[in-house]
Amino acid sequence: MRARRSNDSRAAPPQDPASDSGRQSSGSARRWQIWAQQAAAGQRPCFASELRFTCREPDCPWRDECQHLRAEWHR
Amino acid sequence: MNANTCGRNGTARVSFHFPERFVSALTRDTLALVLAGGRGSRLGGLTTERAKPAVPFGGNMRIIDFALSNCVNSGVRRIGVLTQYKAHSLIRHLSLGWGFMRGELGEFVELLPAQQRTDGGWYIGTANAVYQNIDIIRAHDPRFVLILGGDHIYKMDYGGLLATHVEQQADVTVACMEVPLADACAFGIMEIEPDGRVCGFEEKPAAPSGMPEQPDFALASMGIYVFTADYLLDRLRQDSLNPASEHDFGKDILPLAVQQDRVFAAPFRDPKTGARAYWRDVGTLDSYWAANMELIGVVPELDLFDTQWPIRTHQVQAPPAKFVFDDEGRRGMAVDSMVCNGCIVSGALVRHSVLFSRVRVEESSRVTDSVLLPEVVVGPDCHIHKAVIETGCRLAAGTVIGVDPEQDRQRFEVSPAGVTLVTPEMLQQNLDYIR
Repeated sequence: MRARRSNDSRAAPPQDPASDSGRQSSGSARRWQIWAQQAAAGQRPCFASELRFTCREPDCPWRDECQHLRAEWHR
Repeated sequence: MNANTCGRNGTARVSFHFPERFVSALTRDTLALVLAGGRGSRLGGLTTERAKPAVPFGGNMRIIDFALSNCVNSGVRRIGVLTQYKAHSLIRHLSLGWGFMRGELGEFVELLPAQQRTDGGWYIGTANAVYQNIDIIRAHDPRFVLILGGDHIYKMDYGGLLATHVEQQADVTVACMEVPLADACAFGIMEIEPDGRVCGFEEKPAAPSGMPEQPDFALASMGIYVFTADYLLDRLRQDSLNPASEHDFGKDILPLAVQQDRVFAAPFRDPKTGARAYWRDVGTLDSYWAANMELIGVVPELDLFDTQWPIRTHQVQAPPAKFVFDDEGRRGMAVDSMVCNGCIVSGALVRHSVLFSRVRVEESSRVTDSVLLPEVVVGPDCHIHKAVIETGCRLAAGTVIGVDPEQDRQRFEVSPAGVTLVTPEMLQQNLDYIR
């Protein structure tokens, strides 16, 4: 099966419109949710923040999403 | 750091500290200077009337939009654009598309044409271009100066580059990427130590050496430099006094800096995969055509649809593209293509092509594997294949381009890879308007 990405109009999987992540996976709700999870686990809430520039955690479960190019006003 | 509380929609309330924003301080204290004065003569007829950074790209952009968007997206909002060669369309584009910065908040895109500020001449070399604006740089009082070319297609977060610069306590940090050895003689080639410190730099070497771990590749400078501002100003002053210097970053400033100071390389990689990131020098007709064609792919390497890293531009105000007639043998359609606003495809077929704004393709014509710049009119019964048609060209009914290279060579410009460039001048259409 051909790989698809966000610019392929057929790519978007159906999402639950009621869920936070259904609105926009990179939005503020998603960010705060992950920060809360990181904090609850005793970690620094660094997801999608500028700390990603110096990240040394290759095994972080959010790494792919976190390291995606993200304009300054989306961080 | 501030304590904060999170919790909504029934999720557990958790107290934690805000993430630090140290990179914001770096980008805020940076002045970007975009070198946009070059002609780009290898693009032939596309740059006879405009500078290379002003060449249209990707349907509704110009090449310089990538460097400027990268700056704004990275949080670098103090930008100077150094112009020289045939800059009118570039200046017009910047004033129409990049005038949104808020001066009250310390943001700007400022035009810096050659204006005889330090001597009586034009910009001579890249370092001299920056030196001639040394008083303006001082007035802005940046901590870092980011030097960029305005003629490459890529998406880069300069925040990471600045973070590397500060972490390494560097005087200069050079963004770099691996290029095949066969292409390396067109770049500044670097040798680095294991910690990333540059120990050798040669601009466009005749016999470039490969990297120790990848002998078929050389480490090339991308022409993107971060300088600590005081250091840069000092070195530019010294260089201006050297009569033997060509006043060029690649030929003069960097080789000397590598010998005397702390110069570090920052490899340009996809932050997610660690693989070599997308970067194109669209300096030839073939590479320009190919980079436009790549955008049409189902999953292009350069994702212009990514809302997290938007590429800003100025677009003409025009209605949506229109495709008319649906009769057998007279169907207006475009497939595997990008078609901009204001276009009309009337009973014609457009396949695997990029149509810029306000292009018209008339009845029974066929356009394949081509790039049609704004306001091109393709008359009826034309066949256009593997061509770049310059802004404003009007192709008469029955015109055939890209089918017989020998015939095309007599009238047009044909690249080594067989891309045909057509300009109004080649069609004896003397058009008085801005490209």
